[in-house]
Amino acid sequence: MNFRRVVTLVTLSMAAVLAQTVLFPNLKAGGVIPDIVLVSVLVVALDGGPEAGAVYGFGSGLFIDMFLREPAGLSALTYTIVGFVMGLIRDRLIRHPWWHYPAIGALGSVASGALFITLGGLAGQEHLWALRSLRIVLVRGIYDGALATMVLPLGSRLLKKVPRVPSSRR
Amino acid sequence: MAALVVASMIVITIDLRGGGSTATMRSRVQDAFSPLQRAADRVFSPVGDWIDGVARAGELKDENTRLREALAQSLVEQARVSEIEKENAELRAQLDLPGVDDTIERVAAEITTFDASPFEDGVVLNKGTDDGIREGNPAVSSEGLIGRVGAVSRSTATVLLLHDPQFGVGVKLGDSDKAGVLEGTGDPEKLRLVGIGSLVDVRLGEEVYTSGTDVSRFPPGILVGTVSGFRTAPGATTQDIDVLPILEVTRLKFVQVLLWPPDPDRVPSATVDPASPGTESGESGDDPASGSSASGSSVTGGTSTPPAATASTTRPAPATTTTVDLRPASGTAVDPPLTRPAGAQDVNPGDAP
Repeated sequence: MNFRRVVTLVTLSMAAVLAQTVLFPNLKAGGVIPDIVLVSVLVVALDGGPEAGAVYGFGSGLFIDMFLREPAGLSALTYTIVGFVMGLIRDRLIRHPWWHYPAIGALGSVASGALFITLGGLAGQEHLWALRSLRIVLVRGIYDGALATMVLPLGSRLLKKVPRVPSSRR
Repeated sequence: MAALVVASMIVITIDLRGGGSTATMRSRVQDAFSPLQRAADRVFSPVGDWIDGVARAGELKDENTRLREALAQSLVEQARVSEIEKENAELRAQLDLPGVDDTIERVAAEITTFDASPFEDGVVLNKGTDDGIREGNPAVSSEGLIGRVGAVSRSTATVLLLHDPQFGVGVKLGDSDKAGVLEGTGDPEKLRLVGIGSLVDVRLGEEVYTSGTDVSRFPPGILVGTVSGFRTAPGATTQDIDVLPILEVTRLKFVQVLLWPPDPDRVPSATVDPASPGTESGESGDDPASGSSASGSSVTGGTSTPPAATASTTRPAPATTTTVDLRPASGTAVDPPLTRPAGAQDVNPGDAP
């Protein structure tokens, strides 16, 4: 793996966790905090593909898990799956219309939220299985979609300047 | 991918089993990350606040208006509560009149203003005859005597203050039987005590109380002031004593008017005032002399223990450095034997023979 890329991704992950824990709690919309870590996972997945998305998702998820009250590993598992799936979708995208960024952001967010509350419920976090959680997932999907409209192009542009992980590892 | 999923599940399992390792790891990560978070918070906070402010501009404007109104209302309430508490404390303090017989009826009144007359030193109270106040009633605070009611209407009463030259009261020194007459001088810082024999031992700082003879307009034991100086003119048989009033009336807001004497007819209406020859006691105050000579009894005020005056409105006792004027009087100064009516020495039970 290219060392520079690793440093870039680690920095990106830290920046995302930092923003998630410091900045965005103050920027609620409809009472909901967006998931900038997830958006960063989407950035990496769209740039590097499913494997890169999964690895980055796992690392970032584990990192943000350190700041959540839910079981450690829950976000890691969620982001791993979402990162991988989004990487696969990227490989199948033929066209890149203007709306594909917010769509990917919103879709990824809703998928991530649904997965999180499902897995969390299975892991004993029954409070996640509530109507309120569904509302949060939907509102956050819109918020993340809007956020992805700005962050995904910028992130993609940033990562394109950094050598990718060798494709042979896929 | 599968490995990562398995790894995630292992982490979840470990955490759910509660071994403590994930908790420790969380704690360490958070500790290590917190300096960065604090630094980021300093950077992000203004940005976040700005974005939040832009997003909620209308809501914030309304909230700001509401909060300003609430703040203004709160400040008004706070000021009102503070004022009520202050008044309450003052009124409570007024209820306690050390040295004064508890059975004496009293009326609490608020000082509304100073007397408008340029020639009299008085204050106007918000209570009058409707509340039972009569002319001549003593006005006191918890610290001591203020004066007496000089004029009264249905709803107001004007209190003649201690230092008014028209004021006079029969007093005694400490808990002794050294009695004399205290007169106002027009100087709020100085009263004049006359009628104390030249051989009587007087001490600086000695407290002066109302003597409260049988016919006195003032009950016994009310603190009036402290001795701040004394002198004896050559050949004089009495001393001229300066007394510092115990109260600074300008700092008072509430007073109590004692409905004393209970039977106004008991006080002679035209006794000679030793302090102001030619005037009536109804005008100028008390006359311990006539009281003691008429009844032949001792001063009743001696039965009460002199109260300590420590409240904030009281003046401090004169320092030991207070000037004691022992020089012969110049002749223009007060000369009690000349200004007082004949027989004045008879009315001073404390006088040495």
